[in-house]
Amino acid sequence: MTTDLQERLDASFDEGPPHRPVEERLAAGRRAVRRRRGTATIGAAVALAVLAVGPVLLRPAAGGGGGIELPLPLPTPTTTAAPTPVHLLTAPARFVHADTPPVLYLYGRMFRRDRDVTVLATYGEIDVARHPQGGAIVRIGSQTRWVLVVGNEPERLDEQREAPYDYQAFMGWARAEFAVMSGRLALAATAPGPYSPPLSDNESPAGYDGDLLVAKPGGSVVQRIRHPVVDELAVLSCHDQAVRVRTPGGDWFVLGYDCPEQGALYSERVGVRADTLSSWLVQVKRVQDEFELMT
Amino acid sequence: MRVDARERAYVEFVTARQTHLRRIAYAICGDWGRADDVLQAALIRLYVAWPRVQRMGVEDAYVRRLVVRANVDEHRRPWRREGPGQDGPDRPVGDRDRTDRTDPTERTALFEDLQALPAMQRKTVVLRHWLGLSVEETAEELGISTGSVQSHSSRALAALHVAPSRETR
Repeated sequence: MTTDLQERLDASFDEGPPHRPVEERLAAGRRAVRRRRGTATIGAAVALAVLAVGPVLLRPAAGGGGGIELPLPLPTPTTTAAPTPVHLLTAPARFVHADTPPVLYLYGRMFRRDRDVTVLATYGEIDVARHPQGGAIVRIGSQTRWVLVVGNEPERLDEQREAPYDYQAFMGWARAEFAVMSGRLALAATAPGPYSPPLSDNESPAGYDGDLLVAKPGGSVVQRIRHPVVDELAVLSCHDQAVRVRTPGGDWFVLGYDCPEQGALYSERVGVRADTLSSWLVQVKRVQDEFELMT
Repeated sequence: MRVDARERAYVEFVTARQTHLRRIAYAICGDWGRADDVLQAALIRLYVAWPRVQRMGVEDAYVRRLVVRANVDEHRRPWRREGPGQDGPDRPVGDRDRTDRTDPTERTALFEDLQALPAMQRKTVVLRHWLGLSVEETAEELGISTGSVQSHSSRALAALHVAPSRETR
């Protein structure tokens, strides 16, 4: 019966009038991208794409990158052949701190932290202007590390792992992680007040238990919104939900996406951007709408 | 992803799928002009989001969700989830002779009956019974519970004078 209905519904109307030219659709898409990129240069800060599955636009570091707009393209990614050191300038000492990763972005350009870092390969999203995100395989002493960085110092998020030289695997990791990292950094960088690094999933007061976002021990979920409106750009099968978590140290908002190949949590203290979960999500959505860019 | 490769892939997708996707929009809204606008808006967003959507291989589902929710957004405020009676009372569908479903005019009547359904019932029929999504997938798509999908489905099929099948995955 269902199949019968399916066939009858399919036959109940035709294909409609001719489509507008595909060039028109393409041009509209290009205009949308230009508008978003243009908006991003005006001022604010950061693009928050679809959080877990979207990338972002990063603003020049407050006070640090003023007046310098465009990052230079990264060096061309190396091949999967035997590693050949890539020349990167060494960062000025004043930008290097205890937590500085082996490679970092200054004014949109990648530098190595110091002369102890040998860069074996680099990878950068050079199609994305103004919001640097890239990575490198580096050697420090006898250790080989994969490093990803998003954003100009000091608003920077990085991830590292110890791993052998494998450029293809590294690129796969980078592509997946950039979306999460950039979304997470966007949330942190658009928050009012001094910049503070975003929380990792481990640091978040919430986490997924199956399909459900729950509080970690010591906390409790006091409010939950399933499929918040920010999921508009999410994809099917993502368990997207937002919760307010009460912990002894205060309340947190956590927006979670648990998608088939990706997942991430976006956590922020209550009161930083908004006082209610709904208004917080509105703010997140606004950032998303205003600054979304693609990788 | 390089721009030229991205655009090639995008154009290829749009060319291949726009007819099907616009039919979904049309089945939901019942107006070709509106359907085209909804699809155009969705395809613009797809272009912007293309790299990650293509990476996940969910281009069709992504546009379909935007198309379905474009209509939802007109009627729902942010954060508002479905509640009892949100669709309003069921409206009667056309009272037509249903003895010959192969008659072309009868096909149109079925479509018009579909349009007479409340929005959520209509969308449920489109997703569940035309596109063949499971109950769970339909619920996910519409942002409602599986129970609501079954309820909408049951009421819609009754209004369309179609015997319900088992509502399982």
